[in-house]
Amino acid sequence: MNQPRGAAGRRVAWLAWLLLVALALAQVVRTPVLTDITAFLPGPADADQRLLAAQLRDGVAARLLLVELELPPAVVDDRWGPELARLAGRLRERIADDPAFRWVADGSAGAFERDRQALFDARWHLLDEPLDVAALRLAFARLEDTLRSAAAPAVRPIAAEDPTLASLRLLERLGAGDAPRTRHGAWVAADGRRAMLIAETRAPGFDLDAQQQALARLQLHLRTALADGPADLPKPTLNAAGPGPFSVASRTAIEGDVTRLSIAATALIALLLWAVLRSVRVIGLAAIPVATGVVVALAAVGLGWGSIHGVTLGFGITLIGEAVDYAIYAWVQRRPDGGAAPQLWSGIALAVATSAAGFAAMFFSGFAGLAQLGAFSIVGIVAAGACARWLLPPLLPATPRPAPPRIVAAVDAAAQAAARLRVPLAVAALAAVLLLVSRGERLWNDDPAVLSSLPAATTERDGRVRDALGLPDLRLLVAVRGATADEALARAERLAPTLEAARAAGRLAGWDSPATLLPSAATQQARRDALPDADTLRARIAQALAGTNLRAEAFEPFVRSVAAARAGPPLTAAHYEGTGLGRRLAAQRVEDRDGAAVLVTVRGVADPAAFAAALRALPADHPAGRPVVLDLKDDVRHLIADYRQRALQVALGGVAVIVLLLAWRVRTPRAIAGVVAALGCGCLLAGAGLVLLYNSLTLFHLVALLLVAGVGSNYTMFCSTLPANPADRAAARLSVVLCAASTFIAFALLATSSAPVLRMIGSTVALGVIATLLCSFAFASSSTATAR
Amino acid sequence: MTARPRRAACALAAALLAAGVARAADTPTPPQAWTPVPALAQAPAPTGPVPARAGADVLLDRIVDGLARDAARERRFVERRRSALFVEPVESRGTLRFVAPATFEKLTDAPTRERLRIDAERATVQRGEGAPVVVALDAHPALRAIADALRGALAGDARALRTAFTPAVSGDDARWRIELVPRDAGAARAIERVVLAGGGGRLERIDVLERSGDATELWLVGRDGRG
Repeated sequence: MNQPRGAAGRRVAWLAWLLLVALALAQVVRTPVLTDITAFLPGPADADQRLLAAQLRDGVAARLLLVELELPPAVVDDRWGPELARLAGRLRERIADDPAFRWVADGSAGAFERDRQALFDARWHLLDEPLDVAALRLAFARLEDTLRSAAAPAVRPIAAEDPTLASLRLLERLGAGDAPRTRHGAWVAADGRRAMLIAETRAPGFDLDAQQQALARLQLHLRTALADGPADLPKPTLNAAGPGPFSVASRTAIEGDVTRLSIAATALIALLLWAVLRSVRVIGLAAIPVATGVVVALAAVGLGWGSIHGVTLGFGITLIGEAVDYAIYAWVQRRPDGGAAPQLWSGIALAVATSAAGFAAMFFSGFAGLAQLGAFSIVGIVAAGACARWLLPPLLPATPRPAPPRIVAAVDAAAQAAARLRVPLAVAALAAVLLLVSRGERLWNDDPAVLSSLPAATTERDGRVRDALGLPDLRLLVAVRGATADEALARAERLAPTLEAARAAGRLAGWDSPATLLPSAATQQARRDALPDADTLRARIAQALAGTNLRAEAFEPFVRSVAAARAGPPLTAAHYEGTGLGRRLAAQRVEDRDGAAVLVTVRGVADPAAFAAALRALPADHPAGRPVVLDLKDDVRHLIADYRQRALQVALGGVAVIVLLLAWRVRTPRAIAGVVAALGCGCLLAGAGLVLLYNSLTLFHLVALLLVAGVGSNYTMFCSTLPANPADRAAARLSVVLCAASTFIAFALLATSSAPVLRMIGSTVALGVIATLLCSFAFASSSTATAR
Repeated sequence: MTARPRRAACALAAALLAAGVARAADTPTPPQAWTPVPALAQAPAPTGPVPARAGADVLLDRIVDGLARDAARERRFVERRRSALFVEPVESRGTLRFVAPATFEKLTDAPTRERLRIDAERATVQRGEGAPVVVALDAHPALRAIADALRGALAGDARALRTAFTPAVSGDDARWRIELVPRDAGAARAIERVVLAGGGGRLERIDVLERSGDATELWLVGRDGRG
């Protein structure tokens, strides 16, 4: 035993460990798990991005669920269309009665009755409707013609109160023309296989537990609605799309991954260790630093962030592969007399330090999510290293059972073979450099979509439902700011001509400004002032009706409605309470600490980049103020590119620290050159391999490559400081191979995760571990011990 | 109509207009003089005792079957509409044509040539030489109810009539009357009931009573398409 302390010291160490683990566990159970993928995106940089982020996260848009009922593919005709529409209706009734939901629509006429009524009542505030004699004469002539046609029943109910049919024009203008087609009285698709509903949950979109419950309620409602229908209706599946369901789906997937991958990694690594070490006790002991590291790291993240991201949880799997290394080094490099190999403990300390340097790059990357991964890993490996150093040695069996000679011989042979691969590896590394350089800027993929853990089919379905319901594409938003909500609305009104010109020129299919539903106070006042008083209007009606077949007295309701609007209170958002329009309005009006803003949505923009550039180029003194164009995709892409640049600098700094640490360890220039060559070639080969596999690299690949440098430096260091004694030498080599194999297992498993961030990191490190191990044997293997 | 095309609003207005009234030169004479009493009172009164429910169902099926066999694919019509908004009732004439299985057309000749074509989901309207305008029936439940009634009667589809309306039948095969009350809430807001009347296997008259009190009586006259 080279442990300087006695039984008392050991007892203190164990007590400290117990206390630490207990405290950490207490923290871990209090820490909630989040899966909001925006955590991995750069934080909002300015007021406008804050606005966008807040809307996307907490706004009405984040609470909307698009629900699709889809009959099995075997149904090929419209036979079940009417029954599907009735099913959608029953589902709507149940959702409407459910307190978990605030609003629901299935396209049935009744669902929009309140909207129609709200618009009808507000029409004099929303339209510049000329009521002079000439306009009235034209309007009445049109009305008379309509009333003489077979279409009369459709117009007759509103004709006496709204003879100019202003309310119909208003409906048209608000997109009734783009409204999804209904069939059989509901949003049933033309093939009769799909029906759609739209619902708003009461809980915010980021409250995943509540969202999950809402989804479960939907399924329950569908079951009871099905039970009330014909028994022979093919059972439809319920697909829910929207921010809530998507987050729930990725959380479920990540949680499933964490369980599955942790079990798989633990089992595979235990199997590997058993094959080589043949000691259940050692495997059990190796679990102590691993478990300690994971628990302490989770607790540290919980303390620092208040919650833990699902991706961090998934990343914890890699800690199994990393932390087990220290127990392996401690065990394999033991001497038969129970003492440690020379420099073993300083070597492990250095291994911890270089790995930590790699993870530190993630910590400083500027991405909240990556910072969490970095902190998690640094704390985890330091805890695991300390555990291996101060707790394990006294517990290891007194006499190690030697590793199977065949394995030792194989590892030695492989190491010898690798040493002959110097030239080919150097050539391959050179080719890798050429490949990477030749790609230029195409090397990098900064599209935030690569972060989405949703299967393509899911996003495609979301797009399909959105299209079918005529919902705006949320990629592009025009934000108009003002000191007050009314000023923002007034500015949005002044932006209308610009947008209308763009629409007329075919640059966009449509736009939707909240000022249409809620005009500014000044506009409302101007419209009210333009309305004639009752006596004037009666006189004009009489004049306009001269010579027609219409009776002036019949239009007294029209006169009354104009008089009421003229004398009544101004229109406020409260007018739309409880309607779909109210929902839309709430989603488009924001008040925050930067003032107020309204969001104008656009549809069918032909060239988003050009459209954004045109609006951004409006002169500073434009009456609409300075509208801000938020291009979700492009803005985030640019941010990611910026962060990638910064991450590259941080990564280079990290590599420098790693190299310095190794240099301090190996001392001689020759050995330093070997170490640098091994690390450099390993990382280059891994990077080129990724490009060949995925065609481009992301920020996450870059950060993971730094991790490769951190992990690979361990192999390089142990290879470059192999002991002189042949037995020790073989043991040291074996331990390096074992460590690399366990790390490979953990990261290769991570590469099968459903979270793209984890997949990218997993595949990069798995590839990098093999490459750096090979290069370490080739370039850094020393024939004699070079450091003391 | 001199309305300049103002975006889609005009399309809708045009569609609404297009089912328009025509006063053809060869105006058929109504089979009887117009009377000032409410149109629905004009329908023939039940002749026998009110049949039992099952009997009424059988009668409805038989009447509607007969209409399908009659296959009056093309009939001239005279229509008169009364409204609280009108000083005088208005009249129109033209041709109704049914094309199995689900399409019917209302053709008017003057003052503007118009063609209203209604199929399962849409009403398509062509006014003069203008481009056809398409309106979804789902957006206009009142139009759909009228279309359903006409189609059900002309196609002889009793099941379709029962799906869209609550029917009440009275009279006998020689002289019958079918009252249709819309089931759909949207349609019922505009249409109180549609009454079909006829006898001897022929549909003679269609009355539409609206919630507003307006009423339309449509007499089918002339010979069928097989002439």
